Amino acid sequence: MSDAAARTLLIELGTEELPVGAVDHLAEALLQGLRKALSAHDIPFDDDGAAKVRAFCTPRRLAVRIPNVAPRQRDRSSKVYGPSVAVGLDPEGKPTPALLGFAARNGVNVASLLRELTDKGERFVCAIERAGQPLATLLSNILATVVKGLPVAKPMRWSSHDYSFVRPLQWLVVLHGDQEIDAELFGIRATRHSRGHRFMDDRPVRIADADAYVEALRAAKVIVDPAERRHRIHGEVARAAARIGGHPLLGPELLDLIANLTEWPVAVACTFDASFLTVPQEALIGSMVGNQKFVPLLGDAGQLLPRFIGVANIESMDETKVGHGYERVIRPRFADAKFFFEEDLKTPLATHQQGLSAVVDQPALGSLWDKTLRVAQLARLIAGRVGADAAEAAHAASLAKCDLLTRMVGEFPELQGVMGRTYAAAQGESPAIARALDEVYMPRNAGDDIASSLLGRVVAVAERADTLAGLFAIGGRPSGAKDPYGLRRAALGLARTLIEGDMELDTHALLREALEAIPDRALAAGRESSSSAHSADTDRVLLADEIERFIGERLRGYYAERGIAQGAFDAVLAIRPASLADLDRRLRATVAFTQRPECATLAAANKRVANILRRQAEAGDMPAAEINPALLEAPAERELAQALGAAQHSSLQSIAARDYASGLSALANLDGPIARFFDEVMVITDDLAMRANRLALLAAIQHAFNGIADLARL
Amino acid sequence: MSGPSFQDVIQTLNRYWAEQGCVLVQPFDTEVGAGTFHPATFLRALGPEPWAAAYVQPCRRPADGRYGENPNRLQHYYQYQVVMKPNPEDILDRYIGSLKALGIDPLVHDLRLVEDNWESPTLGAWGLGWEIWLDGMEVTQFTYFQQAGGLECRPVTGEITYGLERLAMYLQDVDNVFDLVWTRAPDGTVTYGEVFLQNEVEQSAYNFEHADVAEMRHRFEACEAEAQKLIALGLPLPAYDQVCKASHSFNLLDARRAISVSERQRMILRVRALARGVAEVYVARREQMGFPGLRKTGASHV
Repeated sequence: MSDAAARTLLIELGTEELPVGAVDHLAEALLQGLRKALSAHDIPFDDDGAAKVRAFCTPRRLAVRIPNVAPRQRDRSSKVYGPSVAVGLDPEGKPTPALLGFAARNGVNVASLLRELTDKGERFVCAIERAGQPLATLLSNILATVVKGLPVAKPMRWSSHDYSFVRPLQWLVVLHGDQEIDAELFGIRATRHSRGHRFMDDRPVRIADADAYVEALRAAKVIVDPAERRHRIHGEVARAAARIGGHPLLGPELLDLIANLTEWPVAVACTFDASFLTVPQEALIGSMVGNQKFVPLLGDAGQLLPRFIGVANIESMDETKVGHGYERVIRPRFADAKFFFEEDLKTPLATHQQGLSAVVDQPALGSLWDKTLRVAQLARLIAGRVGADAAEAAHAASLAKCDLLTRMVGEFPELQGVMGRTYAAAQGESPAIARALDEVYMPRNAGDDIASSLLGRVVAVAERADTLAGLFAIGGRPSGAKDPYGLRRAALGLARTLIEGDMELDTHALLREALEAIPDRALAAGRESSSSAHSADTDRVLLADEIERFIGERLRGYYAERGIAQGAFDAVLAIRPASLADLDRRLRATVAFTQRPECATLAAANKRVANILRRQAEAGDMPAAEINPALLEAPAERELAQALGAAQHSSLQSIAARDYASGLSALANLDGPIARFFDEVMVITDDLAMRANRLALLAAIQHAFNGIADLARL
Repeated sequence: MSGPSFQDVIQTLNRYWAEQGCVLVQPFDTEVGAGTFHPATFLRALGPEPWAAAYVQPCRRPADGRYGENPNRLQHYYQYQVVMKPNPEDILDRYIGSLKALGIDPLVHDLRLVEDNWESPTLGAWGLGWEIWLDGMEVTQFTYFQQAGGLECRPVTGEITYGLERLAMYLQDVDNVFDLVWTRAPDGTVTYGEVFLQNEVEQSAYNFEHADVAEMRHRFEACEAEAQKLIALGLPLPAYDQVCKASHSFNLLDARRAISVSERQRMILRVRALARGVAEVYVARREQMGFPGLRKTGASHV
């Protein structure tokens, strides 16, 4: 093989066990960093993507393989233009200081400069030829720079070194085709020897050629390709599940965790004592998955079976011992859960209300019990407005935080809500109340559904309104990437529940009521942090506006994700619909309207109307109080006034019925008359009475459209 | 009952780590919550002097007591602690060697290193490392110290902390800590329960019911004042005793549920400030002495 041939470059960083969360993304970052660095150094390589540019990773290694990497940089040649001959040489033909300086800057002597005739006359030129350096010479520096740039969340030092990295580096492989490259990282010299599985093949593994990497390590019981490892885990788990029965509960997150904890995954089938199944299965599943990364098995009806699968990182010489160990480790965890569950059942949920007084998260906002009372009062108000039972809503809200003090939630915080529902149902609360105690947390995240029952929705809205009011009041609003109280999620959850739950609630009034319940001392604390000098009542008004805008911003993102144009959203938001459910209906109608051919001209006409009215108002030129038919002189303005009267009548009826699409259709008929009006009629005439009358006509048009959306913003 | 006895486990680890060059020091004679508090770890991790030690440390965590009724929880238990500074490059292999010495065959069992980053708010110390899983059971914590007493650790100390009871339960295949075989003596087997059950019952009663809250508060304050005085006098070792005693009083108050969340945080910060003061004075004292440990290795290696 000639030295000029392009070959595959392989780099493997052998480390002590990496944090699971770091494995995939560090390998990917290493790959991207190297691609960039090779390009920046003008070292050609095959970057066709689909080729074989690949990142590999296991718990003990980060590796990249880049095909067809040239053995050296491209040569670079360039020309630098210097002074003109007239400037560069004095009358005696000797180099001037300007020319000497130019030569010195370019590292050549004057004699080697060339002359070239350019359109600016004859000039001195320095031709620079730089021979490309060999890859091997450059690689240590490239590697050091790329590794330094890796996004390591928590770097560490080790032994007596000054380097820091995600975990100590143990070995380094750098191969260019079949050639070792003499590179170094963190004081470790590169060789062609990787290492196999920590226990099953703990010897140096010779990599003959960069392209033989994957196979060489597979022979040493390491699957370096994470996709292949995930595939193998799937197969292993499915086989084990088929043997003992059950559907594995193996989501992508658990799969990634297992894949990043193993180099050679082997499924081990296990069982547990069926008497633990009296414990809510969420707790058992949470313990198996969260603590041990075991794969639970479900029956056909989705019920947990007393079996599970552990994925070992070894083909054990005695697999029963491993399985026995897995079963042993889960037993005390389940025993704890069962004990907690049975203890909790002995205590009625409501008895925990007293304890809530002692739980203080934000001192200015009082205890969790204070919050509970506020939410219950809000829930009562909301229920009355949306046709839910006010007493039930207040009762559900008064129990909603109680499960936080149960032992089960103490041990498994992710079960908040689930345990409230379970205990309430077991202790004789109605099914609707029990369900609301879980649904108050919905939507738990962006992908989650909103509460399914009306009672659940009422309490969910009350809870979030209070959270937003309280935390905005004490100055806990998010800034930049920081949102320590999850207020963006709370605002979106509130908005989604109102919209998707079709709840007719005035958001501003709701926020004002939520803020009324926030104690003055909390507002005072917020004032201190923002050095505002308002009274508490003024603060409440300002905060309600601010939170409403904040919710609006979250909704903007929500609709943008659903492909709705910003203009349509702004057009509807501008007229401040009375409820978010109403906003949503208007927005749907407006979006449908934007598909119609008249939309563009009507939007332009609305803009023109708005501009004229604004400009004239600024000049003190106001429309007449109402349109005087006697002053309508031109045929086009008479026609427009007539058409407007008819369209507005029909549009108002549709608006009253919340049928905004029909309302907009009715107004769309004004398309022609408005166009003719602007063609034929001069609004700003010298006759002041007539001018005021025409302005009144324009104002009426604006008013008619704004009954649905401010189309000028489309 | 198979597997090594509890005292066999300790003897094996002592022999193994002595062969690795560790000084076998004995337990620290003041109540502490973890082996890390032993001056052989916390103070020796500071400054540039090399150090390697191994020891058993009894640990007291008053709030973890269960009157001897829980098969897995104790308010008094043992850790086996190994520290090596700077950590040898092959410290993980050495650790795995210790498991082999205990009869654990890594070709049979599923041994895993799972990220676990350690932090002690009271000691102002943190490090990165792993919990080590033996067939899913956590039997060891491994930490590369990055900071102690608020000071950067240079060179880095590698710390290995075995949970002795857990490990022995695994090796003996018992589910209840009190059933562990402590030793098989000629006159019969002695169990962990025979040695410690009564202690668990009585100490739990003390920790949860009888520890005098006012007195514990007073002790906390008194130890804090004494520590501050000793720090000012440039006597870090006696000052450090007082820090540990203050910390234990705090743990008892915590078990008595006598401190609120915010007071708890304040007290932790007070202990942390003391630990930091001790750390600074300790390094300063060693420096005055010319870091004797450094001279010694310098002489032997040159």
